Amino acid sequence: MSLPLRLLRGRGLPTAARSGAAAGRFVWLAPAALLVLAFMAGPILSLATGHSVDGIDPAAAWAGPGAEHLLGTDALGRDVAVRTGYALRVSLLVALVAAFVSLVMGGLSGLASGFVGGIADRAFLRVLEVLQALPFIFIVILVTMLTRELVASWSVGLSARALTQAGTVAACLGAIQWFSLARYARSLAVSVRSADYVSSMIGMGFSKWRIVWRHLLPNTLVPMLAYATLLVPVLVLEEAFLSFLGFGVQPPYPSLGTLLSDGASAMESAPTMLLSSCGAILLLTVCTNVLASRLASRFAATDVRGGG
Amino acid sequence: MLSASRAVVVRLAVAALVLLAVYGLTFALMRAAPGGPFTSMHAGSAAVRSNLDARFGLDKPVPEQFVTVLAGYLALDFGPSLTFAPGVPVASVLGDSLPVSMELGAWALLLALLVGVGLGALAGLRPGSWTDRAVSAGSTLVVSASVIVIAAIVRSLFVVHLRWFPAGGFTESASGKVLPVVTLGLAYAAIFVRLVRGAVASAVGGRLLAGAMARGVPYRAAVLKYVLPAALVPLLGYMGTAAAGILTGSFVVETIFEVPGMAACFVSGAAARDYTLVSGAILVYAALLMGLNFLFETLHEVVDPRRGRAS
Repeated sequence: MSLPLRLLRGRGLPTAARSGAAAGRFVWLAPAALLVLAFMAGPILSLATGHSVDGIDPAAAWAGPGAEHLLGTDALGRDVAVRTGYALRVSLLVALVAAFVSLVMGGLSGLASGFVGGIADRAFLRVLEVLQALPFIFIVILVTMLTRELVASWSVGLSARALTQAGTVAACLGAIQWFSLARYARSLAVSVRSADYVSSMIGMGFSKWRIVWRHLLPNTLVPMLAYATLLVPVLVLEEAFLSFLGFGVQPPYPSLGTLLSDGASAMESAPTMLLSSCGAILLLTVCTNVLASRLASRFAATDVRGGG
Repeated sequence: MLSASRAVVVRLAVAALVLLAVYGLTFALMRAAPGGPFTSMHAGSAAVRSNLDARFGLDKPVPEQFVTVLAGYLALDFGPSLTFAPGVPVASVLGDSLPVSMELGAWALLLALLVGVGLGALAGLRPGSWTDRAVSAGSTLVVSASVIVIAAIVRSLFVVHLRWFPAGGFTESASGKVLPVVTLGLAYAAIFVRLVRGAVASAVGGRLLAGAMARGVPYRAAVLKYVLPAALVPLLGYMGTAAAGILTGSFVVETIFEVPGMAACFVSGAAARDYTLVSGAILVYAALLMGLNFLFETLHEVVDPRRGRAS
């Protein structure tokens, strides 16, 4: 789902809440620690319980939550807790890679457009406007469906196929989320370009490349990185959506979307599956939301609304 | 300076080019997928398959098919569906399922606006109050959960466990509409709440309210006449994006609540290589979204003339 990113940045917080937040300056530590824990949860749970992520055990199918299986088992007797743990890692990784793809696409195009300026820049803004209005999620569904079926016919190992598909999902999702980042990068480039020291460097005949390498990139990289973290919760949800429909991450990799879809189809017999996958999605989105808005308000404080 | 009519012509030309590109992309993706519409259907009989291919023109060279279908689109003919509803015109398949999705989306948008503007204004009028904190926390939670989690939880609670609402039945009864509409509506209400809250809070803190009250306008009237209208303008700027998001969100809601809308049509059409149905659906959606975006943008410019001049 696409949210207007500036809404996620916490700058709309009431003053009272903001002064309260000053007391809790280290509030970001909690979500950060939770995210690290979520990333490690799969292997830890697997070690602690002795169940592997795809250890099929038909005799134990649909076991309820208990000492043997913390959150019960699914239709194939796989441990739901271990699978949820690994799914957290898979979903987080896919979202991070996708955010990186967005960062590269949006960052490079936006910086170039803002730095070059002129007609090219105006045309770029128009193109962004048009692209933003297109239902790209349908194209993503088509691409991931296509790769899912092409990959299925490859004669490589199961996990190599799943890895390819997960990479495709990340690339596709990243490729449709870069518009707001491009706008932001463009506004950063415009402000660097119009800074006095840059115009005097141009006047003194320094090469454009030197300005780009020594001044444009160093001055814009951190704000862009911080801004890109805002995409992570959005991307977590989009991956869940694709995997829920069956086009996302493929077995043997578990993902929060596939677990949610398994849980939704077995909500009578095994409600813990549904609840644990919902809880896991919430954990990821809430933690990444809190952390990202912290990072963005700290490091990406330039007003992006002026950027067209 | 472009005149208004010339701007419209330019926009239409751009829209036509974009639709052409979308069609080309969809065409290429569908043809690149392994297997055709009829490969799995009649696995044994090659004769039946080639007959079907011939009937729908799939035996012709691919560039020729591309042009034939494109020519059909220019005449507003979407061609026959191949596998989802074999032989039935795509236009009538879409005509059956699109209104269902649109109905779901329209009710959800209405609910989202009512709840979002109401709660957002309530919270924004008293920044920092308990109401404000509760509303902000609630909207953060709902935004984080998003349509997908809310839909799954709501369905399992109210349909499976409590049995208060029927499973499915969106098109049959009003009670079948409640949960899908509420789920989708709430998810977007949470976003609207944040937008409206921020705008109202800054309008209340700004000169707008103080000025009106200094002129002797009572607080209540000042809020209704000056603050709220000013706060609703940013909402218009977000409506185009929201419309797109509601279309996608409705995919999840339709799948979970078994609503016979575009989701079922598109997903099973794509899986069954129904070339014409898939590209028809994507084109209709793209046109719809561009149209809505244009509408909201124009409204936004009419309401807030600064915007038109700035960009």
